[in-house]
Amino acid sequence: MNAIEASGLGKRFRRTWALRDCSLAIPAGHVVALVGPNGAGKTTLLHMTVGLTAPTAGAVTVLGGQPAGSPGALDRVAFVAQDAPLYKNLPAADMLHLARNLNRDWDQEYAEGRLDDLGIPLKRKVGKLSGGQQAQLALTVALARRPELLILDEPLAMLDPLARHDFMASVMAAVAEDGVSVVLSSHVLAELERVADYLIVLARGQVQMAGEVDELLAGHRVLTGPASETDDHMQRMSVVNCRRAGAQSHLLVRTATSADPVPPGWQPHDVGLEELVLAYLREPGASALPGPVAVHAGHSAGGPGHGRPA
Amino acid sequence: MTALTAPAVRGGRRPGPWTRLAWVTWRQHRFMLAGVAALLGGLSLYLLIMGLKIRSAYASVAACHPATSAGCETLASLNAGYHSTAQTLSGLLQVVPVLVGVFAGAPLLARELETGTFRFAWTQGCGRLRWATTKLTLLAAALTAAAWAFSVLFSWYYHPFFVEGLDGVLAPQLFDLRGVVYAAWTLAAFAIGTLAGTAIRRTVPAMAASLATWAGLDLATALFLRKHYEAPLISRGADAGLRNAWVVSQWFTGPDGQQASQNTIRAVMQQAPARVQESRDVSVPLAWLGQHHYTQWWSYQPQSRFWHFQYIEGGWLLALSLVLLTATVWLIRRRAA
Amino acid sequence: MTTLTAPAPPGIRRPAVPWARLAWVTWRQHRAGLAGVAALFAGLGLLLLVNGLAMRGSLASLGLNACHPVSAPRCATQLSIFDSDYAIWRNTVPALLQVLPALIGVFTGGPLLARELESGTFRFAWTQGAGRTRWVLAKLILLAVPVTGAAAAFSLLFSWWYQPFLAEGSSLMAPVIFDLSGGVFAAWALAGFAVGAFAGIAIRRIVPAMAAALAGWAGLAVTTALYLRPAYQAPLVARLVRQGQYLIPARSYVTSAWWISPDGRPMSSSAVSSLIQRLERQGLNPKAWVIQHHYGQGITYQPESRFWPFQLIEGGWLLALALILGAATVWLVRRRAA
Repeated sequence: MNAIEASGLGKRFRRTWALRDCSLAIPAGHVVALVGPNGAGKTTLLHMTVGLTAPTAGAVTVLGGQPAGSPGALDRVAFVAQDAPLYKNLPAADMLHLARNLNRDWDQEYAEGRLDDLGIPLKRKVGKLSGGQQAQLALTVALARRPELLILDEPLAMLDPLARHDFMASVMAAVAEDGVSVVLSSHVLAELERVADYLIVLARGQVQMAGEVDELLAGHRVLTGPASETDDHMQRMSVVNCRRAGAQSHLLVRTATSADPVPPGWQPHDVGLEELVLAYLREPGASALPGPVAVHAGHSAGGPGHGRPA
Repeated sequence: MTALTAPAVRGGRRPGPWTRLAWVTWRQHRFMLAGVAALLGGLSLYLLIMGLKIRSAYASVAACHPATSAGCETLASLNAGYHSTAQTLSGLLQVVPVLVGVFAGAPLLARELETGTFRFAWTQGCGRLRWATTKLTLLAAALTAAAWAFSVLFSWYYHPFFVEGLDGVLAPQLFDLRGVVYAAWTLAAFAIGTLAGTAIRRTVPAMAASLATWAGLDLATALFLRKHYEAPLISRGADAGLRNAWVVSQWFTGPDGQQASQNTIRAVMQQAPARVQESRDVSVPLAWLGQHHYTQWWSYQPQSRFWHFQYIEGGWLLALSLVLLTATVWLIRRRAA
Repeated sequence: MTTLTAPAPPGIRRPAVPWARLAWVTWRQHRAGLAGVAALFAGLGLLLLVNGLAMRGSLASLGLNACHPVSAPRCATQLSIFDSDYAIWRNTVPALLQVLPALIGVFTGGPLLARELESGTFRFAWTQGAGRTRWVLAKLILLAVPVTGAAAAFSLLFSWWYQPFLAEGSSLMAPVIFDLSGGVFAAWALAGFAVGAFAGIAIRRIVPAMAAALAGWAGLAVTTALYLRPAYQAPLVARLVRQGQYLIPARSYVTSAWWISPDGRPMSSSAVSSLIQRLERQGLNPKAWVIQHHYGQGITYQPESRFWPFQLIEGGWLLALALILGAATVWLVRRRAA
């Protein structure tokens, strides 16, 4: 089952397209990192997925074909918006009660237990809690709904490193216990590197990379060699990004397998996720998207497809 | 190796800080000021047009000769419609000061405190005191001046009715709208609003609180306080000074000089002859009562005290406003972010 | 390795979030507002109660209860004593109470949706399982009902309080009294609330929505009082029969007093003044001339018997307006993108 499916999704505000031609098929059961610079369209995409905004073009469905924003989708998808909006004048206990009354499924014990573990007093007004506590409360409310899909829009932006660690630990615990699919957006990849196993990179309103992290990492490597020989090899290899540092240049290349031949005098290195994403962000023309897959037969061969090399 | 930098050179001409703060105030509140201008402007236009019409109507009555002919009397009766419209209008205009207080004064600081933008505003170079005093002073001055100008226009509009003796200048509804008192009530509403906003820190409750406070203050003043600005004059029986005066109370005294209750008067009236009891003219039973040593007394404020009362009321409202505005600034200074 | 799925079949629909739950949500979020409305009506109601009892006591002690009809000359002295005490109440209280529907609209209706939109909490509320439509319907209906109920109860109390003045000769058809009696006051409160809620979703910011709600209500009220209400049924015309006397039913509300042309229609003030000036210039005696030419002095009035038909008309269209605005509010909520 696909957690999120989007085909040709686009959103236009007045005259600018915040998101264009977005086609995604995110499998369920993954922790998805949605990354991109500020203004790339992450929030727009997420808002369309939860039914807050209607798309200008295309369509998006969640959890196996449910239209985004439909009652069936609202039931099973939990969303925490940017800045974790909560009713600031209510005490935490009433906030929980409110969320319970607005949903069909609710696990009150889990919610109270979690708040207890985190040390968030139930009687205190939400507005008086610290930023980290408010974010944790918003996450608690979302998780207590027992969703199948959890969508978090820049949840870590307002948190200190310790709070971030606690937050991600909670998210991962929920994934481990209940098999929740999680989509996290952030403009800082380092935080998500350790937990994400599916990556989507949005830049300038379009999807630049989408795929499983393992496959993306296995399909790329960095070749380091003399700068003078760079141009020869650029024609023959599928080079995404070229970075020169003094007498050396570092080429980020796409490889089909790790057994691809390495030109003499060049050193291959594994590429880190952040380095990979940054390289793609610097090359607007490059993309790494899943190619078409065979629907029938047991095993489908897919992998990072070929975009236009730099 | 780092070298210490010289202090930054302050060169060039920069606008004085007050001008900048004035611009900030204008830019932040231009919609509110535009709204107040639109409201008062629209009403002023109406007053202007109607005022000219009324003056020409009364002028044509004055020019009509002979004055006691049926035709001229009919012309005069046509002006009754203008008067009743003017009275309704004066009732409606009572709400303008409180609208200013509720929509201009209360959200002014409450919104900043509620949305958290005060954390930006109060950490800028000019500091919170200067920011607050500039805002409050400029807006209070602008709103008070607009209200004063409007009340001058209203006085001009209502002038023919006073000349005809249709209303007393001390009548509560009209006293409120003229002279300096209208502007003073507007200023007081603004001050109440800003203090409520700073103290309550949430917009809608602050608006409700300032509405309730102003309404209470206004009613209390009109009903109880204003009568006592000066000791009322006492008059025995009808008096020239009573014409269009503001009657504070009236009572009867009996032959023994003591105050007679309603029941006593009623009992006495029942002994009167039928033609007295059934007379349509109220002065007939009063005359009969007078013959039997029952006197009617009036306690009233004469029209001549109009400006005196205006200055008293305007004065204490101004003092109250200054106290409230000072309290607002003090609260801002003290308020921990 | 992903495959695209076909759209999901409808399947079994689970029962929606029950209304009782949404009722709690509405109550918890707006209990301060409801308490404010209750306090306002209760306070004013208490005032009217105390004053009404005092008035009735005064009437009894003055013996005006036994004096029928009250407008007869016999009772004039007692009436003037009663008037000197209570005329100020009769004149000011109904005028002051006119603002109540506006207050309800501005303070209850305006911030209702505008606050969620301005603070961003709608991003929480609209992504919960209950969905937007139920959420907004719960808010609108569960706040409109108590507000309208409180207003209806208050207008009953007002009618009781105003009773003695009716006996004196005031008319129920007078605009400020008509507004507060019968069922129309509750309808105005409901309409005020609906205007406020609609302004909130349309404008999306609290203070401008409140200002717009106030302006909208004021425009509606003024238009109704000046133009609409006189037009529900054309006023009746009565000619002057004897000097100063008109044969009209008791407690009618006189809307205008003008001259009547020979064909029975009221003349406008400009027509009358131009006629008089023309006659004066020609040197004729206007009084004799108009009698000769069958002009009359007359009044136009609305009799009290039309009270309930007018109440039904006005209550009816106000209710329809409130429903339309409510539907428009729900539609805007459904359409509104984040």
